[in-house]
Amino acid sequence: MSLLSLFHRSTNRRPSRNPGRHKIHKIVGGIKPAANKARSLRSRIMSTPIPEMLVLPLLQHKGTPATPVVKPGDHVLKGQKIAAADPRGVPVHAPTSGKIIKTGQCTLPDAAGTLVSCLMLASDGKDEAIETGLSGDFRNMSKVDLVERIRDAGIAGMGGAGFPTHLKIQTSTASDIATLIINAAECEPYITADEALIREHARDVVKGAEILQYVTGAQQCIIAIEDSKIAALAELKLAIADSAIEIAIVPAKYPAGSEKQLVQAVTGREVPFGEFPASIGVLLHNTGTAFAVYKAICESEPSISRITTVTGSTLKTPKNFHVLFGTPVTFLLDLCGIDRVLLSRIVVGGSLMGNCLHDMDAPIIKTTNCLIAGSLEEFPEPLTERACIRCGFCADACPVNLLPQQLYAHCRCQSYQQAKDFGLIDCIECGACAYVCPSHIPLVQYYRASKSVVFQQQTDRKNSEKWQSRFQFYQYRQKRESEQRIQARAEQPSHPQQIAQAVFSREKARQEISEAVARVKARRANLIATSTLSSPSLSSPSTEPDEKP
Amino acid sequence: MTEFLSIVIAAAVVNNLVLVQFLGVTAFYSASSRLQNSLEIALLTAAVLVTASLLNLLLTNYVLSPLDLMFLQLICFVAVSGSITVLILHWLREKFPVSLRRLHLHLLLVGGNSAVIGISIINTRNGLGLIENIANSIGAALGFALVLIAFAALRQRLDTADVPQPFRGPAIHLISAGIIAMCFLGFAGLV
Amino acid sequence: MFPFVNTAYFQIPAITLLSASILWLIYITTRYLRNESRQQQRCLVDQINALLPQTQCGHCGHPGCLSYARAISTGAAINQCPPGGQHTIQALSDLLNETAEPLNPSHGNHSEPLIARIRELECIGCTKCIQACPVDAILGGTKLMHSVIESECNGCDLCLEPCPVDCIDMVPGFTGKQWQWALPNRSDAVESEIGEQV
Repeated sequence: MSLLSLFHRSTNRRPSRNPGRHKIHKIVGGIKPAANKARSLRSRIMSTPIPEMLVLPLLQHKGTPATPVVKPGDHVLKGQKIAAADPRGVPVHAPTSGKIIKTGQCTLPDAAGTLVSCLMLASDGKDEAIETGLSGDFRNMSKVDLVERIRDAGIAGMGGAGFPTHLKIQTSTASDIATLIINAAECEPYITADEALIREHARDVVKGAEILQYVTGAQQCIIAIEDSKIAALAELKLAIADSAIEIAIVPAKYPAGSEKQLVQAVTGREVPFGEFPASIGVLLHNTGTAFAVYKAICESEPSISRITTVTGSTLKTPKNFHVLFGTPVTFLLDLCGIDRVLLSRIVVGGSLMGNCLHDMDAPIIKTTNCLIAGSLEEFPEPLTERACIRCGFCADACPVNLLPQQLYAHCRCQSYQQAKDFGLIDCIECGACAYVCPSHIPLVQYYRASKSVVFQQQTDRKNSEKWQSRFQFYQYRQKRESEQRIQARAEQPSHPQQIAQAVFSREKARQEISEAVARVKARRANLIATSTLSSPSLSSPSTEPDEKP
Repeated sequence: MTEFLSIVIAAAVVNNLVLVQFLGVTAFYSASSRLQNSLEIALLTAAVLVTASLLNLLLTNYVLSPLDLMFLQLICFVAVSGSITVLILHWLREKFPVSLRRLHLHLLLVGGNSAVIGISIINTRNGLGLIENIANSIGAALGFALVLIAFAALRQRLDTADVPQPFRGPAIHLISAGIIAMCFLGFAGLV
Repeated sequence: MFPFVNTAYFQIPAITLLSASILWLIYITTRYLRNESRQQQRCLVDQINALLPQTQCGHCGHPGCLSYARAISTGAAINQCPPGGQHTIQALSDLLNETAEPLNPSHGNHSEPLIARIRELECIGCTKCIQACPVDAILGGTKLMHSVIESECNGCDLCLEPCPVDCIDMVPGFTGKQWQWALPNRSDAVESEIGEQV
């Protein structure tokens, strides 16, 4: 309390019970790794120069890909919609003005390196923005209207999962939301994007939070931030001075910022297994998402950029950047003065939950919050995995109260049913257990691999059910057809006289057909012969007077 | 009453069928691979054990002894326990469809269980009366069930443990059974 | 103990009565639980069938997955299904409390999911493959082009044999196979300090 007021020379010394503060509940487990955040926070957020080529994937979030509304060769303006999506997706906007070169394929900077179709935009450097309508006070707009504008602006969750924000709001308005939590507790080492955003744009974030609170109809709105982010906390306190939003200061422990852990810390309630926090009346949004909502509603700017931390020991000047989507990773790394000789690996995300990047030309997408260009010293090769000594440090560190030791034993033996019984699906893959393991066992890799297999088995099970029902229909259809065949055969005439009559009538029909064909042929020949002598306007042979029908 | 209980406890842990007297080890080992399996075999064996030992007592005391046919003792015991097993398995066929896939195996495991026959012989040899007989067979059944179920749980742990390659499978299971048998020796002198 | 108890007059009727009552108790217990067990018996075949991959390919030697499920419930081996692979065998062994044997190689090997693809230019429109497909995944009519609906094909390859012009290929297809994380390679990683395999 008194430490904070040292930074607040302009305010009076606050009493120990701060009215804007929220009670924090204890969470189990967690670790306290070295934060490595100071280097990237030394300078302010820098806007990147506009890169020459922007690669815009048409699927930047979880959902269905967008379909382009522009063709190669079109000139687009900044903020113009270049790909439209169905109601369950969000559209893609051009981050800057330029020409669409072509549609192609690019790799996303995720763990799988998924290939998605994309639009390549060559910037013309002019950065002309599209004309936008003026925006008024959000309280004058209807909630449905606001959600539609949020969707139209292409906003998806920027915290890492990338779920379309409008869908999250729509599914949550179905159930009563008591608490809206803005997640500013960036607990993972290296990532400072949200902290820098709050330090410089706290009022905008608070405004965005108010908009979200209004749209979702939440009774209270809380911004959760870690106690180690002192400067950001000070800015935030100034920003909420004239609003009803509260601050919750969570202890700086990893993974306090994970969704379910944060809900537990702030509200004291556990999210049930397999459900979203909305089922207990809580909704979470990332700070970046709140900022994007503010930009979309109050400044009519669609989601075309985000704050990304670019850090690592191989960079001369690590900092936070205000990057446009579609900027290639190499461009950002060059801006920071990367030493490619020392570079060992590039990690997208934080050092505990991030994944390795193999394609340096991958674009920045909506969920890229951090890039770490690490040297071999910073990210050494994994140590040899040794036998489990059953020390139990992993169980102490697990924030979800699982038993990593048992999970490891079952995942290694591939007995997936027992792994599921021990809560494999509940694991948030935070990496706390692997961090504390004295035997250097890569626990999270085992869980991820087993989860992949389990999900694959679930898909296989669904496919089997589908094929089983199709097979059952096939059997029913066969039976039905054979019954119909038997019935048809029964109705056919079997008496010799009847057959003779049928045959006879078929012969007669054939004769009539051949006569008719001969007549038509003669008529046509006649028509051709007469049309060469008389007027060519004769069109129908039936007007010929000397033909008998 | 205390004598009854002391016989039960003595038969269950002090003179445990499997780990101390080494009877019924085959049934014990093959039935304890899964917990569900072991529960079923334990219940079946308990039912057969109690019934068979009673009938065998009857047989020995009033048919074999007076007629001086004690040399037929073993055959008669096997026949009695076998027939009871067949009867009970037939009734239970619908109840346990999963484990009774291998009906013939269960027949052997339970009907031909040396524990079942062993108890009858022990009772005859020791000249036990009716109440002691009942107590002994109940205790033996309880002890067998205890060890079977405990070992099933142990095997689950052993299967996921980091065992050196030469010892994986039956080797480590038997070593563990041996170590537990040594533990059970600690019960000696209890009753 | 009690002297009367050890006389024949007591023992014979007592033992007979005791054994009879124990057996009767077991009997009525099984009868009382009869309805539940009948359902269990029916459910067993369904439970086994739910674990099988439903390709109806016949590689196991039975005409269809339900028939193989029935065979398993009466004692057939559980390692006969190649499209199911080892994980199906593991799931069956968990259900039936049996040891999981390796897949029987005489019925084929487990491969990645394949789907059928017809080379439409060579197709003569005979409808023989349509009649063979157990999940109706082939679209077409007499003397019209036949095409495989890829999302419905289960890779059973029953359509390959009847085709008179041999224009069907089995190609790797996306039957919902997602990208998977790899298990850490432990065999060459784990070494103790004295350099031996742990």
